[in-house]
Amino acid sequence: MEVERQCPQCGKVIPSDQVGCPSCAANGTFLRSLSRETILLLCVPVLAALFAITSTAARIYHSQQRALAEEWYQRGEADLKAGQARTAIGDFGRALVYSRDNRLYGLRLAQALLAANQVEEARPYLLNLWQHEPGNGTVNLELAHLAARKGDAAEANRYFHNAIYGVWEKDPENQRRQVRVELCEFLLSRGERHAAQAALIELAADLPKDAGLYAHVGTLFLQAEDYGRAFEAFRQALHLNQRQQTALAGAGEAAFQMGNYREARRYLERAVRLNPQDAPAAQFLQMTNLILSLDPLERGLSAQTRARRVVFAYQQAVERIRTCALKRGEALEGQQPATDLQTAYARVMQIGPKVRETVLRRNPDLLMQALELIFEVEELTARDCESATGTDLALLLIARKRGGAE
Amino acid sequence: MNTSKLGILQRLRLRENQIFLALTIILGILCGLASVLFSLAIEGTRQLLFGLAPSSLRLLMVPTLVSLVTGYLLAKFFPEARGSGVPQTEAAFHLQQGVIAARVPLGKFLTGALCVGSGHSMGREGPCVQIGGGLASLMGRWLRLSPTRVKDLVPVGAAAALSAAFNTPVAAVLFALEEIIGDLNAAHIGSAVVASVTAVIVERSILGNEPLFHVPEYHLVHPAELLAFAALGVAGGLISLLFCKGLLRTRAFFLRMRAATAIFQPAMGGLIIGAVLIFFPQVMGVGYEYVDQALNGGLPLKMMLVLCFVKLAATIISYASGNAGGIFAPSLYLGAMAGGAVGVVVHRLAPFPTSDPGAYALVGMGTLFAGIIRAPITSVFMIFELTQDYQILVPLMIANMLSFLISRRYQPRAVYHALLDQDHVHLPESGGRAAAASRLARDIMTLNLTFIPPGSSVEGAWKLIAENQSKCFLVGSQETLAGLVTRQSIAEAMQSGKASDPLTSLLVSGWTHVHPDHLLELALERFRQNPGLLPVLSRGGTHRVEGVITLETIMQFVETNPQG
Repeated sequence: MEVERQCPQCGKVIPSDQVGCPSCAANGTFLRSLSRETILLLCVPVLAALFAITSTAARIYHSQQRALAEEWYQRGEADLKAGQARTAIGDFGRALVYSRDNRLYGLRLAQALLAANQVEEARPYLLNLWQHEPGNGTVNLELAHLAARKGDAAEANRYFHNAIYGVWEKDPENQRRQVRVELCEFLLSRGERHAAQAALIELAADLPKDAGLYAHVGTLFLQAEDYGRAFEAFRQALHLNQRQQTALAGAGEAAFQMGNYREARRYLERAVRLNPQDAPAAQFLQMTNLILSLDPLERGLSAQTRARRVVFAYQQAVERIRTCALKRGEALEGQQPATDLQTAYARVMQIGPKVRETVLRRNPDLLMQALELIFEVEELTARDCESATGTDLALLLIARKRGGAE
Repeated sequence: MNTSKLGILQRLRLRENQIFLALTIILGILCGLASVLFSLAIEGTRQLLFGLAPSSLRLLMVPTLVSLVTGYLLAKFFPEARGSGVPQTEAAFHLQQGVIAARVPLGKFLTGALCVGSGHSMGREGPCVQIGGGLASLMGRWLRLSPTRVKDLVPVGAAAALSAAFNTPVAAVLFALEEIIGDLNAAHIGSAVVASVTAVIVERSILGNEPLFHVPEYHLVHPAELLAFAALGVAGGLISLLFCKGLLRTRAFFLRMRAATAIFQPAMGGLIIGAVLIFFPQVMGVGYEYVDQALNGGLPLKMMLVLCFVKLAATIISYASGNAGGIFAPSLYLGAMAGGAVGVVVHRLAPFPTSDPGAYALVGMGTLFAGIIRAPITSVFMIFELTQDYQILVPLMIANMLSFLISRRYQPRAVYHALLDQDHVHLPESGGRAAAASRLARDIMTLNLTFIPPGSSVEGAWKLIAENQSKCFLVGSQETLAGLVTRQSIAEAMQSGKASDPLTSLLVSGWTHVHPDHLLELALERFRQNPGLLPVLSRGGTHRVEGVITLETIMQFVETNPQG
């Protein structure tokens, strides 16, 4: 039985009467003349040449890629600066297509996505960058922003601290300071006053001589209700720039909050003079003036003025307690006192006939007794009724200041 | 002097298996270089044709005009280079003894770079497989290897080229075994591994060590998440089905057109693709940059859903209209988009904590690959190789299995084979191939043995074989085979007056044998090298005869096993 032979070159069947394949006889005669070992040896220079050609092509290709990536990156930067975040996303995306591993492009893309409010899309890019550079300050800061947006305080805190102690390529001290400021603002926005105070103390410990910065830190201390440090920060700011209006207003407010009304008035008057449009400062000044004009225990008052102020405060307290009872629907007269308000009213009425200028001027003990009762009424009504305003607020603040002093 | 030179040359002569090994390494380098060049050619073509920010007119005209050129080239010079290249390579391996014409890799390189580079929604891996297989076939023939060796080289070259194109050497080897050979136990695994690793070394030495994708870290956050991955498997199976059915029907539509339109069909596809690119430039070419974005959660849900279906339609049009390019990369693209979309939905709606959508995109890639390409083992290893993370295996296998089962249930014929069917090429099913491969020498041998004692003279032997019509005989005993002797040599010795000579002087030199567990294919090949008789020797004692294979036993086997 004849076995059918197939040409290994072209696969066609070789007729039995022929040794070689007639189809391929004309082809490959050169290779046919060489031994197999020679062909294998010839492969070496051929492969080397091919390798060199491919490497050169790859180098040219990569350099073109880099140039294209840079071009798209520059376009993205321009678009981002112009506030066109959505266009910038496309630009940075294309830059990344050409230079996939460029972390700067990835970061800018994530920032553009954040700017366009595409938070969920930005997150994976940032996490990817973080995996490569866990100590990168910018990446940690952006991740902190992301966590803050999500309301994940623990994660935000972690990333903020990573950013503070992270690596910053340009101006690291200033960048870290800015992050601390952001951390404080974040903590304050979440009502974490004590944590914010701690962060602010660290921040304030190493501030450059910049009045604006001191004023901003002072404002943050004010928000953290650390009035002493706030006042000190504003004072430092004013030391650097006496006409720093924010610092004047802030120092006034801090002094006000600490009960230093005379000092507060001094700063607030200057602040309002510099900027009459500063409504909060004007309101603080107004309240400060009211307090200073109502406080019966102010130093240097004559006995008559002191007694007159107590009488006025007494009348104000009676009016306040009546209004409060009316709003609460409680009857104050004609029955046995049962509530705090009724008890307080009964005591106020009991002392009423004695609260006169002439009597009080001669009897300092009675004056103090009346004053204590007035403060008590203001505290009670502030607790049980609506917040005090105007004169009542001034009396309440005086009460708190004097109560604290005692 | 001359004698000593000849001796040295003789010693330098390499045996066939040594040449095969050397060629395997050379092919690894060559196919690696070819793949890198092919990828660079695609990107270079794309940049050249589209520039930095192409206008709508340019997006419309480039694929159309380039497809006119490639349509002509494909119709006139390189008809085998249409489409993916994987089914053609399979056909060459199974039906043409691994013979691939020299023009095929050249044509595939040229038309593939033009088609994919001009924006057609196709992949580069399929063409690389055909280029690699073609180069391997060509080299094997140049080195005058045996037809079996040439055939063996085809999957080796394909694996090398694929590993350099996709940067996953293990998956490339498995793809060659699972898809091209259709047998994961094939004997070619060693050569494929060597070539594949060599190709990856070449590729990385030129392009660097950067992975193809930046893959997210995966953690199974909650056990119930496996249900979500199962849902992804079902979705992947349905999308795979949609893709396969759509591709085959659209291609059948193009094939039904008049033969004269064949040159223009790629341009028709190019025109449609150009129109699609105006609105969705993201589906242009291979599209791995968008796969990367989906993996890293950089695409919104709506965009991923839209891109999944636009890419599906665009790939069907590009492929069915007869352009050159593969469906390997598009299947990964579809998977990343579908998986990413499922991931976002699960992330938003699931009442339990879930992984990032990127992890779903990653599993989705494997899922669609298993559903479309029907190479589930390759798909699992490919994703594993990309992530290098064992944790991904369980969800990946769940999703892959479901996708594969759904796709196979409603589209029984794998897409590559169905595409060949449309070209009137019918590959054997892998089950049939396995059955053929499982036939062993023991199935075909006979135990009816006749021995001539080794001490016989020529005359004695002549008397013994007088009534036997065989051409060749065993000399020795069942326990100790001395060799073979042919009827013709005994007859010639008798005629030349050597009747008293010992029979051992006539023993055939260089005879071959097989063992009972050798494959039928090898037994037949060795039978051809012997003079009409092939001894089947024991592995436990290589002089012990267990049976013989003769022409009669072969004929008897064929008669009793018509499907064998």
